[in-house]
Amino acid sequence: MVIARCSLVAIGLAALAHTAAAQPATPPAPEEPAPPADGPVAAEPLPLDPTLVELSARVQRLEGELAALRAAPRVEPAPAATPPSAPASDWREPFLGFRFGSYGRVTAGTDLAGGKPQPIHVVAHGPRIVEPSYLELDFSYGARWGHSGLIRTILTLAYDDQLFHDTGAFTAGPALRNLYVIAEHDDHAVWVGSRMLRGDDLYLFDYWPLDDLNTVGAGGELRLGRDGDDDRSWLDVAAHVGLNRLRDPFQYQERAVADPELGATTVVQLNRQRTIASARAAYTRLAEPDAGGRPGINLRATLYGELHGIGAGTRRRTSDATLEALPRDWGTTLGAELTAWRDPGDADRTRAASLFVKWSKGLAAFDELAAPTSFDAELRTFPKASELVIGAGGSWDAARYHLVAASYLRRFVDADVNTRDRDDGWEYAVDLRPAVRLHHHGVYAALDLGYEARFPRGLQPTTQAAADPAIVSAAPMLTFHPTGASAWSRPELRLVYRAAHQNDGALALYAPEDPRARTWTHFLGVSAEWWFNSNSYR
Amino acid sequence: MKLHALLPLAVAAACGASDLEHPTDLPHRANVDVDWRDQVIYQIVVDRFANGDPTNDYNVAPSVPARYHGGDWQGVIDQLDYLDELGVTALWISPVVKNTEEDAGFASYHGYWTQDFLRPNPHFGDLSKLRELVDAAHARGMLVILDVVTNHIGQLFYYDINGNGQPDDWLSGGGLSHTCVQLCSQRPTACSPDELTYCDKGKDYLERIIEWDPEYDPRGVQGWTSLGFSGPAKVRFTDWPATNRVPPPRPPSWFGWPDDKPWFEEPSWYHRKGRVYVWWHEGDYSREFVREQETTGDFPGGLKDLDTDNPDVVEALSRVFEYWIEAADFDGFRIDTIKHIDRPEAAPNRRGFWGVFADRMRAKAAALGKHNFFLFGEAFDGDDALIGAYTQGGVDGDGRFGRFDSVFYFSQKYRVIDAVFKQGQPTANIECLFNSRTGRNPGDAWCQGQGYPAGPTFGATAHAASDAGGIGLAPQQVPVNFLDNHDLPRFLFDATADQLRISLAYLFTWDGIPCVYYGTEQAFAGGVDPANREDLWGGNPALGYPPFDTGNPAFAQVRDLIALRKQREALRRGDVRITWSVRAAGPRRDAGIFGFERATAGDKVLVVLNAATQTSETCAPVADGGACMATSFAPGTVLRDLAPGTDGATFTVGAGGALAVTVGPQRARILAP
Repeated sequence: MVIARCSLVAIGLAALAHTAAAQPATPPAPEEPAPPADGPVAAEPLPLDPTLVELSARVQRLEGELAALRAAPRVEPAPAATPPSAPASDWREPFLGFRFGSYGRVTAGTDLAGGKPQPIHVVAHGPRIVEPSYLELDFSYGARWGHSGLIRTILTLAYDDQLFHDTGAFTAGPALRNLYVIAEHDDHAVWVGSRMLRGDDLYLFDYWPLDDLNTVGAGGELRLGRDGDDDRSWLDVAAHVGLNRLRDPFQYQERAVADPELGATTVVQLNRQRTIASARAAYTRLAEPDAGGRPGINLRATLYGELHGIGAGTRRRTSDATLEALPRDWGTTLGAELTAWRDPGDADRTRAASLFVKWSKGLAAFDELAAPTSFDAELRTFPKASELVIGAGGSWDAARYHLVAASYLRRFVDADVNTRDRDDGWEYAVDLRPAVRLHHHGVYAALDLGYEARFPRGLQPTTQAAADPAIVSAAPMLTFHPTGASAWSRPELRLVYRAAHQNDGALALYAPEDPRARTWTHFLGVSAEWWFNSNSYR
Repeated sequence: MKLHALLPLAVAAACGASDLEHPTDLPHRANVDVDWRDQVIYQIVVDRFANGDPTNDYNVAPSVPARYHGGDWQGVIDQLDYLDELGVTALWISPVVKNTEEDAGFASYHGYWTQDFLRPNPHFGDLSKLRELVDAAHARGMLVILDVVTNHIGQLFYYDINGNGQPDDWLSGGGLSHTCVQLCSQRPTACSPDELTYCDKGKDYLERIIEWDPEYDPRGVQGWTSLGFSGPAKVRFTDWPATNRVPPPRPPSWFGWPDDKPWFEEPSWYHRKGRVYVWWHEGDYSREFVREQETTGDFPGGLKDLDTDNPDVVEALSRVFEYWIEAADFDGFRIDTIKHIDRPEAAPNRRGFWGVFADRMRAKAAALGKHNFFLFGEAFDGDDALIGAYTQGGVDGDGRFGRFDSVFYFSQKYRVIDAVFKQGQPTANIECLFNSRTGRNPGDAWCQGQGYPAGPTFGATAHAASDAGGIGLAPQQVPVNFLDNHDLPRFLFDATADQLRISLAYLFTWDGIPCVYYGTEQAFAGGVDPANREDLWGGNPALGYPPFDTGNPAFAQVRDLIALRKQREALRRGDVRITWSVRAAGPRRDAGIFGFERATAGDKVLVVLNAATQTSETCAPVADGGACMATSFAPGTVLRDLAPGTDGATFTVGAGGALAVTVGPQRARILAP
């Protein structure tokens, strides 16, 4: 049997991606078009005298601060899209009292075959054009604490694709995600409770390569080296220790036993908590505006680490009521991120790029909300399990167009003893979404080009052959940003058509009778996405 | 944007990550230097041998004998050192194909319930792991034999007798007796005498039937309601994915099976006559009737019998198992339930299924550059003529064709291992069986009186030369000898350690290929299936042996006998000359003695076994003349006892080669100059 050793399509698309990705490297000045007469685009700076320049820069900075306060600490491409906000005179003001925020997306459409579209992927995190509806409702109540402190209680309810108008089921079960209290001061904060901790994401994949933890625990954050608002560099240090005990057979098991008196009673047979400790140190350096008052390129370098541990336990096999010892285990993650961005300025133009590297070993190679898929109860550790991720993403806003891009490369090796194992292997994904403005009221024509491929180290069970699954997709869309011109302006309303091609390797991943095993799949639909005042995404 | 920085990595991933070689593309072991007489086969029930990869322990229940316990191919790889130390040279592994998961609480851990002929059983690993096992064994000089099933599939469909579209466990009043009343009692001429007997004998137990596994009906399983018969019962495949009881999936495209041809989901590929009920002649049925049942009836347990006379079925099964040779580089097949296909004892020159299949496998092996591909079958029957018929070649209009190189020697199991070594019957039974197999001394009245055929029951010529995929040896030379197996109680279940000792001595010195059932070396003593399928990794708690113990007496006996067999060419390849056997039962001077020489051009060994519980001597009682065993050794030759664990005694050959050897109860002497 012939094994496709090299995907020419992949190389071709990668080369295309190279070309597209290179575009933002063009020097800024020439790419700034002359503002249209009717457009909201900021005018190019004029040669004014130094006093005016200084005044203009100050006004620009203050406007930036106010915009940051207004926009809350959202958002998805945050570090790339939103610079760390400088302290305002009373930064607590927006957070006082009752406050509501939300992240959400709703999708409706057809697969052009009479059915509801379904996401298709061959990698862990692929292009997100077709994704289920999702909603977070974010509530908080803030109160002053001492001279300059703030205490907030934060609650986030999340709903996953449960729209009554879609399902006809008059029910929706929310997940209680955030539920914590945070006490903040100018340069430090502590929190306790259930919290979603998020860093920077690759928006086009809905993927947080580095810090993306969901635990119940406590943490704190400290800002060092910043003595005043004018300081342009500082160090943020944060740490968090969280726990979980998933309702998963490897962590939790209840069983009935004979009650000492009458009948039966329930005992917790297996009660294994997983502890996840994480720490992050981020050094931020803000650039001085140039002589023309235009913002420079800010940088942030982040080091990140996690330590995972799980206790021993004894599980009772339901098949024969014998006991199975599950040993303690641990794992670790190390990661780094380098982010460069330019302040949005009054034109709200985000230009940012991030590069991620993450390496996980042992238990930490498995998501904290999922038990290891290759859990080996007889091993004391996971010496083989590992994950390496290299990711990059960014965005470039200009007056008449913007571009969002994301890519990652991942190698995963599971914990079992097999060296030729389809769970092991490399994968990568690339997604580009350039958009061109059609109308100054925020109407854009965009094209999302995605490619994802996987190179498993094992045979496909259906075909008994080696195969490299891959999906290439193209999605032209019309988008409407009523509140701004940035790629990150939300809400965003979309009219999208997407065609995706699955190669033979991808088709072989399906069970033989899976109707999704079609070479071409389509999506035609509309979607809306919004975020505001979110406490989860920073 | 730094995206371009990732592109070299992405391209590297695209080009370098999938350097996985498919097992079919890997080289195959040529086996040019293999002589199957040199081999010692070790039978492994994979699920019970070693658990090397707990991550595939899906739905295991280690304390339930009839469920999966977790053993896998990685476990076999992990224990190759253990097997090396034991000295075995060929591993017979249980079936590898994907099975139905379970039926009535019994699981398919043994592997004989095929659901998909082309995909490996994920409980044991994937195809790469299987190939890794074979390659690892080959690297140590071990051969690997695959256990295959061509007679039937797992319980994948039921006969919808009452037409209600659901599988009914019990149908009252719809049994075969009803059929018989309708078709035989009321119309006697419509039924043969056999069928009349069958209906008459069955009327008590056939009143209720199971749609999964109805009793044999010569006309095919009939549909029935209270109003009468409705013609052949419709076959309905189940759709129960959770237990993998779904129709066999079509083969992958690379297999090249024509799209317009049916596959194993086609009802007409099965005989659809119901379950074999009459296993033995029982004095009431003609042999023809019994064999008709055996070869067209379903195997008990609802294992549906394939119509191996259907050319499409022949082609499909041949291509399936050609694929397994190529994919996993096996060195031979042990084939299950061969007596349920074809009737070579009645029609030796009818090519049938085996005549095609066996030669196809040999040709495939040869095409892959593999010599000495060994085919032996399981004919679970004490009828030496019947099982031997499957080793005889034939000739038809298309020329000569072969069948099996050997069979699992059940007739020896019953007539020697059990009758002689356990039950104390005369050792002349060994001689009689040997003579039947080889056709020597066909006029022996005593043997004929014991029911031994004149022979030769086994084929006298090789089916193919070793470079043509055959083994270059006549079936008579390579019976596969065994003491027990996965379908029988373990030898020690109803025997003593002394009986095991003498039987092992026989197994490793007698003519043929010894086959050791896993756990024999750990003195396992389980009863009938599934108690005889203990976890080897559990050790032998009854005797206090730890897992994979290499220090216990049983292990030492097997190891040392294998080592001696390897040292002495005569014990592996030597011609047999029987020097002593006893035809009388009961105590006497030579009670239980069986002596034989095995000789090659360069080596000669004399083996003297004493199956009796008394010390005996290789001489006739004085009342019978007192003559002692005549050997072919020259007078004055001093023979030393080489048998492991014995005293190393020496014996001097007397005049005319006469030799008096005293052997302790249920002991053996293995003598050589």
